[in-house]
Amino acid sequence: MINRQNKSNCEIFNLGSGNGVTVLEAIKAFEKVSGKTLNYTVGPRRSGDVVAIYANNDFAKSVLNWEIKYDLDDMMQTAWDWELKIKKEEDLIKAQNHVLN
Amino acid sequence: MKKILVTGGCGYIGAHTVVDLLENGYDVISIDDNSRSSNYLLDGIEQITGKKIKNYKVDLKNFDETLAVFQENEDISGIIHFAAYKAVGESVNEPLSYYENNLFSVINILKCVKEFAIPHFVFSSSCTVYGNPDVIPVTESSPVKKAESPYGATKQMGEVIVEDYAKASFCNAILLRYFNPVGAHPTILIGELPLDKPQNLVPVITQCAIGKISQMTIHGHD
Repeated sequence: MINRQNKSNCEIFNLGSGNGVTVLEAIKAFEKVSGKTLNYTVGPRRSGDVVAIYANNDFAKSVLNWEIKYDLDDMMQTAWDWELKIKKEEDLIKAQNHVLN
Repeated sequence: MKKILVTGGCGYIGAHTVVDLLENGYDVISIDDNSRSSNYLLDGIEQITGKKIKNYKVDLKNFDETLAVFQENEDISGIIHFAAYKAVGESVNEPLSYYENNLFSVINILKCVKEFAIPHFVFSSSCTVYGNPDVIPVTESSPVKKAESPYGATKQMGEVIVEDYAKASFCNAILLRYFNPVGAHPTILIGELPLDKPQNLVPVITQCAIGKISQMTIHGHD
């Protein structure tokens, strides 16, 4: 899939934005793009979770010409539009079942 | 037209990749047993691309059934292996099912890669392979520390298995370490669709906003 000289035949690429986003920052971005206020509480850390991590993506950028097309707000917007679409379809199915019954 | 096998093609990242492959002129087949997905995203793929792809509803833990897909498709030129269990919290409670599913599947599919001498293999890994890193951001050469979860451990082991197979063969392998993918396709025809209670942050957020979840908890104050 990629061909370069002197490369190993097993290569590793980080695919990440290169920016660390905290959970709270993600929530704030969502609230901004959706206009919704989220009902959340802060609880203890969850077993298995990593405390903090984000990617250096220089290798994917230079070798694969990988690039970031969407920022956090874009991603929250499409995620929200997707949830709305699913809800709309579920409501439609419920309404159809209601008519059939 | 080159044929690519995508495992987990009915899933979130898999479906997005299938769209991209079709739009770039590849022929695509999928293996997905729908244990963590449905055919819903296949409809979305068809609406976006105007193309219907064949999904084999095969459990990759079953070698004979997996092999049969390769026997039916001898022209596969590359594989992108997405299929796996991926919920960190669940893996803490169900470690054996994670090791069984995520490792048997990669071993079985690599046995087929070997059998049919398929020259390209992409493995879906994860930033969880870094454990709790001492320095961030992490580069690909940052140390792989002890995984914080069985899920992360399955990805560490999967990487080793793929790398060792690549060394012993002519297969070109790529390990992609994803860092929490979020968002939906710009057409809003495919996106993340958890079948049960969502485990990842963004579907928790959107389900909370729409009222499917009454309240969400942030795990940790920082």
